[in-house]
Amino acid sequence: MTERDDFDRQIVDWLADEAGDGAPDYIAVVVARVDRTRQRRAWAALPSLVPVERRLRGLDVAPALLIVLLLGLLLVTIVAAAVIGGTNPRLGQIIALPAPSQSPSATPTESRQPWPEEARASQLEFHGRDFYVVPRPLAPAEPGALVSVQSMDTRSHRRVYRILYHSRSVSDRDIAVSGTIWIPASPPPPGGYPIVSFAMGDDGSGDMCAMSKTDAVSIDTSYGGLMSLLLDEGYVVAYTDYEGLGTSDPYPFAVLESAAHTMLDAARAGRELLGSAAGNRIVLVGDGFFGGDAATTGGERAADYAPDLDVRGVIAADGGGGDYEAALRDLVTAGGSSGVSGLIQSIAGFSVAYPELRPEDILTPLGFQDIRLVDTTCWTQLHSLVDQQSADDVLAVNPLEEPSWARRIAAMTVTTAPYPTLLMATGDLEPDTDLRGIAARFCRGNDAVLLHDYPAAQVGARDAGNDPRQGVFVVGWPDARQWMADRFAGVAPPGNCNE
Amino acid sequence: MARARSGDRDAFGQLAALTIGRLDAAARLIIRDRERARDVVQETLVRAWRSLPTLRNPERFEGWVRQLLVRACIDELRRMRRHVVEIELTDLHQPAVADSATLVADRDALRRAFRWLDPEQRSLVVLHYYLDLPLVEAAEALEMPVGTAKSRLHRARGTLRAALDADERIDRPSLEGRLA
Repeated sequence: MTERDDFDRQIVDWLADEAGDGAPDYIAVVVARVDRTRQRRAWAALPSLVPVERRLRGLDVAPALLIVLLLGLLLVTIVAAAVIGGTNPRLGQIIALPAPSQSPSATPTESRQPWPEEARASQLEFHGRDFYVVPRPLAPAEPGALVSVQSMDTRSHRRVYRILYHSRSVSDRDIAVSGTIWIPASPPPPGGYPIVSFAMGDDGSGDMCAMSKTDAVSIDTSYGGLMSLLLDEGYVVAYTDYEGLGTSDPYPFAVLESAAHTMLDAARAGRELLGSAAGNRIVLVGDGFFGGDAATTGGERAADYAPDLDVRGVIAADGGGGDYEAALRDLVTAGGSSGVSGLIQSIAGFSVAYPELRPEDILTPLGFQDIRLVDTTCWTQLHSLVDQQSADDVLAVNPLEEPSWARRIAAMTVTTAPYPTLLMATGDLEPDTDLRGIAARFCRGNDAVLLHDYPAAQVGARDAGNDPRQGVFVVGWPDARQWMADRFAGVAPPGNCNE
Repeated sequence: MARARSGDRDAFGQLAALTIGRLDAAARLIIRDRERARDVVQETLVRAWRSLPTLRNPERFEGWVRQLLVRACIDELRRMRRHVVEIELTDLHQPAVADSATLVADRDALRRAFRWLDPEQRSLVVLHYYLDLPLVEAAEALEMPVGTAKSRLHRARGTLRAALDADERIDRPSLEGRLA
């Protein structure tokens, strides 16, 4: 490795090119932080303690007494920290870097205008013990109406609010759903911020998998790159957790109508939070299994369910067929844990939304045992727990051959795409995400369906070991960005239905 | 250095100014996210300031800070878990001279392949190829035996090489006829 060949030089050149030569602009921030930070004493380093210990020994203090004294000091420190921390719940959280112009929790001063969401966020600020416990009885309200709001501290100082808002279950019941609203740093444009309502891919059905429950550090990494790009474009992002994921209600995973409602209502909730600073133009963006399907279902239902929203388009990445018949067929035949975990989650979800569908009617004892794991695991855990099982191990009856199940599943299929639609495919990575057939279906009656394929996302995501559905945004962002900007601007939508 | 060690903040500011450029570039290359890289570099420098008096060999300052940075980058990458959308470095630099389409494609392939590398491999590649550290020093920064560093770098290099080869084989499917 000492002598470099052509390929080594290619790597060197590439890295130099990627790094660029611009100097970072935050040295002043470092200096300011250093100004507020005390140095450790030199003797704090371990080797320096030795002479200190020797000196203590020289004082002829009994070791047991010394230990008792140290333990006492530790106890006093813990008690003091608990008392102080108890009076200030923000202590102990990640200490945010100073960025007063961005931080939602910064004290408003005369030096800046109040943010447009501050008044409403203050009115609805949550003061209880558990944000996710749905109030009983839930005071009736229109879909999208906010129940409560909580500012989130993020390391990147974005203005992100955890929200609880009204939506409608598939049985038209008034429900409360959690989610987050992300607000760009740029001022609202004339007509208000455009809104992107985002639905994530399946991450599991346990309440802890809800995105809004992500802690202050990880929230910046949960689709954080995509959020960052959307905010930079000046879009408000409404990011639903989905019905019951996170809250004290059950989660009807795979029930597309429910997911569509929560997406559309999250956008409405964002509008309430921001008042006139948010417009009613929205684009629905969904990722992967369930997320993409939620977006296309939202597009199909928007005119009826949310006529107050001006839906400009739908983006479905690596999913979005809205065809659970096909998806389930793939899950049943896929083999391996990927199929089984999705299958088990879906069966649990259907039974939540439709009580007449009983998992015990179609599952084997092993499958029934698995389904008890669904509410307490996220995707990776469930995936590993059912790693060695096949669909045959868990299904006594194929739900697609059981009329009551098959009817409900078939009724969910999205058949139309009333709005401009961008489908971002990742080659043939997942059998249930063959967007080509889906595009052909959506093209009937809508020329503004655009299918882009990103085989590089497939290769990269697979080898990276990351969730493969997310690679598509990495390589497809320039297309998605332009497509969204054009939709919000009212440019005639493109399509490649006839190619 | 002596002044900085004895608590002179201005002196430390000068030291930081001398190193921040390379630290920032290395962090950006490893993490592939400008914002997070900035956070990591800031934390690293503040940590270096705090612990500077405990540094027994001041001549090792640069290597010591580099070690802190690399460990912080690796921790940051691990925190990103499987949910991370690794958005490419923004404002990707256009080549200074007009490049052939092949070279541009190679860069894209390298960029994609780099995401496949695990945190230690990324760090090794950046330390060795970007910061130009000999393997011994790169291994030291990562607190791993030289032999381990050598084999990991070899594998990382092989992955990058394979990506280029694979990319040359990928026949990007045309949309033509797909929806007919």
